[in-house]
Amino acid sequence: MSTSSNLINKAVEQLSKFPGIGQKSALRMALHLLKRPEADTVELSQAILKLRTEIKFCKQCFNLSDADLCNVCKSPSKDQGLVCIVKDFQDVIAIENTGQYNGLFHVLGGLVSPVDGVGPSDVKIPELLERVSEGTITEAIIALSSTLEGDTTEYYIAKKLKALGVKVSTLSKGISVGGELEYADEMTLARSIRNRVSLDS
Amino acid sequence: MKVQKLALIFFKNHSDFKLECQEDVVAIAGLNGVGKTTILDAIHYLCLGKSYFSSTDVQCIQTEELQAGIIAKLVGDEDVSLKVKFKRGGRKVIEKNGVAYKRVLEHIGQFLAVVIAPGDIELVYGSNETRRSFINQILSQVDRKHLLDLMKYNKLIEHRNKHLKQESVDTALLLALDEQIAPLALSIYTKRKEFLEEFCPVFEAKYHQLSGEKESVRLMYTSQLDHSSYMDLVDVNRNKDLAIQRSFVGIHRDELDIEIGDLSLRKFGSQGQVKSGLIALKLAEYEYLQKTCDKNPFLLLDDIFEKIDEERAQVLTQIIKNDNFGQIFITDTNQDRLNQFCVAIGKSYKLITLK
Repeated sequence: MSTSSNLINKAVEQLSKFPGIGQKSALRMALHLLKRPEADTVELSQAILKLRTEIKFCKQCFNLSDADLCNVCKSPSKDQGLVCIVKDFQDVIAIENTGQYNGLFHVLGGLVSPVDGVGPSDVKIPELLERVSEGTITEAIIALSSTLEGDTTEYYIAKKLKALGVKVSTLSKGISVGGELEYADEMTLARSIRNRVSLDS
Repeated sequence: MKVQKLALIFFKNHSDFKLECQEDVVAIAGLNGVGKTTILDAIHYLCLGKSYFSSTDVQCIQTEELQAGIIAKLVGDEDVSLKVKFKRGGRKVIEKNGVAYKRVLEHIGQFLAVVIAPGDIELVYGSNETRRSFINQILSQVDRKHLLDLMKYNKLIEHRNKHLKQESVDTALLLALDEQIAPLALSIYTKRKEFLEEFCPVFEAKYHQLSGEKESVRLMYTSQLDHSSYMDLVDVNRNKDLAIQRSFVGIHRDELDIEIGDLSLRKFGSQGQVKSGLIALKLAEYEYLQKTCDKNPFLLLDDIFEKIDEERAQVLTQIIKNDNFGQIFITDTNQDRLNQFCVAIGKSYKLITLK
């Protein structure tokens, strides 16, 4: 896209690098900034710059953090013996939002995928094992995607953690809540039947 | 189910080909290179979502074009319109009655086709892999779970092989892969065994019918899993895997050999036995699919008279005449011979000559 101003062109080029933002949206954003008071843009750019330069990764769980330890790890109300192993920061947010989980996290930052040259030491698995062998953690929940790479990572971690004497579980897989049975794919449905839940209590 | 209308767009050597047919037998005559086989391949494509003769989709797109398509109208118990489109560097799309499948594999098994072509000789003389893909193809059409198992198995082995090529191999990671591979290997192995128990008697009967001989005939199946479980096998062969940097054990190493009278057809078969064996194998495939799925596959006969002798051609014609077959597509360079075949079959036919 080319406009009368090279400054705008440059801004559009940068903004359109965002996921989900095309050239037209990028232009709208650029023009929006020009319509707003200059102070707004200064504030925004400072926030972005600060975000990028000052963000830290929690030394314990590798979640995003402002300090050496993230808010979850610092929180005294969290169960220090329970850890949930996830792939990404988004997964931490998703699980925190359920309000059903009151333990710590461990963010792997990726999944083991030998075909793509990603081995266990290329994600935060060695750090996880070290953390667990310190002894505070007694139970681990593995919450990874139900894909081939997710399963491989899960098998690998489970084996290692069991050897350390930790109780290991994984998320149950099946029909989504509020989902229509007829729209569930056959593999999900087959798994749901195999792992069916008894109603006797 | 019959093909009533067929259109090929930029598919192999046809830029814009249209065919209308209602007949039981569609005979296509013409010189070499005019695109007779392409028409058969298009029907295979519509049924199985891939070419029988070319290994990739891109090879089926005309050289200067970006995409190709096959459109067909099928009539039978219900009328169905099918459309296959594929692009260079793009995803293949199959539509049934105007609705695209999310995954191509959802289409597999609804429409069946069996090809008999000169290249089938590879089934005898080629590698075990050729014969494994022959049975994979049949099973994938009748058993969706088997197809999914096979896809997942292959993907896991790919991961495993890739990791074995790393400088430092993590045995715990191999174990994590092996624990997923083990149940798949067992289920594929069991399915292959069950299949062959059912398939071999049909194969033998067809061979006897074609050759007039009474020798025993079978597809001999040997697997490493015959005597041991996958987990035990990988355990024993771990060092070998590390040395050759490939997965030494598994059902991807299964062996299949065609045997006639306890002798390998590949090593000891006469020309005549090989010819009868191949056609018997294909007719057995036809009958197996027909019985298991309770519908008539399309029979696609490519240039068969060129490769088999007069006597076998007569027997085959008799079998096609007497047994129950779905719509038949046949190609030949010799129009008179084709005409004789059509008349001998005694069903409605359409003979077209491509130029």
